[in-house]
Amino acid sequence: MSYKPTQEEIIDYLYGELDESKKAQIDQYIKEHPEFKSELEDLEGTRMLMGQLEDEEVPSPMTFMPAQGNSEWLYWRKYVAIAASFLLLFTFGKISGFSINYGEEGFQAGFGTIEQGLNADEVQEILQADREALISFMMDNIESVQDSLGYEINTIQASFEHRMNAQPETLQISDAVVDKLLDQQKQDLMDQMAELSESLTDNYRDIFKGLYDSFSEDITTQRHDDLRNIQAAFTTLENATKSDQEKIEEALFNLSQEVNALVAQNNNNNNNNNNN
Amino acid sequence: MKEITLMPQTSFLIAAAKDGDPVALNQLVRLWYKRIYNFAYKYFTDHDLAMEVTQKTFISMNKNLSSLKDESSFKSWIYRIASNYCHEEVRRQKRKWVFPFMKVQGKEDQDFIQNTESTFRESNPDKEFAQLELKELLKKALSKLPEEQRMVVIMKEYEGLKIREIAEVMEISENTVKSRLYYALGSLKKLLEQWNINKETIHYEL
Repeated sequence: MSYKPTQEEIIDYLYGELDESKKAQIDQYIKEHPEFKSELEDLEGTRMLMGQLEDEEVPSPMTFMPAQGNSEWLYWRKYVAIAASFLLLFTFGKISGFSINYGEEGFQAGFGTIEQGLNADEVQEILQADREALISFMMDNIESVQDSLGYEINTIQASFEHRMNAQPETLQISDAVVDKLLDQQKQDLMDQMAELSESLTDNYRDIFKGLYDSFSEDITTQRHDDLRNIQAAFTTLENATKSDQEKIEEALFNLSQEVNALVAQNNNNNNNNNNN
Repeated sequence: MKEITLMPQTSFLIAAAKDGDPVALNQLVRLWYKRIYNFAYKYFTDHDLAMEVTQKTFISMNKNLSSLKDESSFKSWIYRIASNYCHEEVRRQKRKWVFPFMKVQGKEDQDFIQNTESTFRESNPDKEFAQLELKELLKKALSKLPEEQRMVVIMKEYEGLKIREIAEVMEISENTVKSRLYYALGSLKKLLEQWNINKETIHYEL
């Protein structure tokens, strides 16, 4: 019989978890195979030895207490706790002046009021307001000046009339004086205008002169450079031509010598022939 | 085995605990606490880890008892919870990076010393000491097994689960359980032979 119990069957047998027919089959096999019997006994022995390991004594077991209070409260408790912490945070924040700000500038937290830099729009606004204030101030000024001017003119006129009425004869004399004065004033103004325009022209002239000078200087230097370049090119050309000429002369000289040599040889040959 | 006689009581208690009876729940914990603790203790050979797993197991039991449909499968159910926590603990221990040479004297060693010191009460101190030594060696042999073999051996040899139940707890086939048991017994046999522990040692001790 080629039957041999498998590992699984051995384990089943060892722990008595085999059905009757299988058990009988293995019992039979044990009778026939003493070496298998000793293997089984070894395993039994191991089990027996391991069985010496006893249970540990346990510390007193844990006890579950019935849940206190209603479960509704247990459920809401954490949310209430979160809300309470926020309330605390806000309260103490208010008291200590702690504030948190989140905006275009980013996240900011600190004690006291938060000093924020101005953004472009705000700066623009301030500039605008400033400008308006300046303009209105100037307008006011001009108005007041106009008023005072008008007032002065009025007073002058009034005094004039008064004087005219009071001293008609003196007016004849002062008429010429006034004309003279006016003329002088006009002359002064003209002089000033002329001076101003002259200084302005001078300025412009200077600038134009400077521009023109630098421009002409540029042109001149450029021209100089160009000329120098051209000259250099000519010099190189000249040198090249000279060297070429020398080469040609040399070549000609060589050629003439060769020709002489040939002529001499020829003469020799002729002489030899004649001798022969 | 003990559990078989406990089973009817257990299913009664489960039914009551499911209905929210705290007395029944605590009774159930008391019944199974020692088994789960010893299961975990043999797995880790460490009191603290065993306590951790045991407490987690019963907390989970309390939470999920209502989802247990078949009361007769309570046994494999609770062992499955415990074995899952064992695996989790092993993973956690692996993650924890501990200097191997920094292992201080554990509670186990202290117990060992205390027990040794208290043997003067016994009529035969030698025998008591030998018994302790054997116990330590057997624990050591068990801890030498690969985890999955160790768990199968503990459930079979010490917790008295049927092979079918072990397969259910570990969610593996019965044949896998059997082959693990076979190899585990083989390696245990070799280890015990190496340490010269045999029937004669026990006979002397008994």
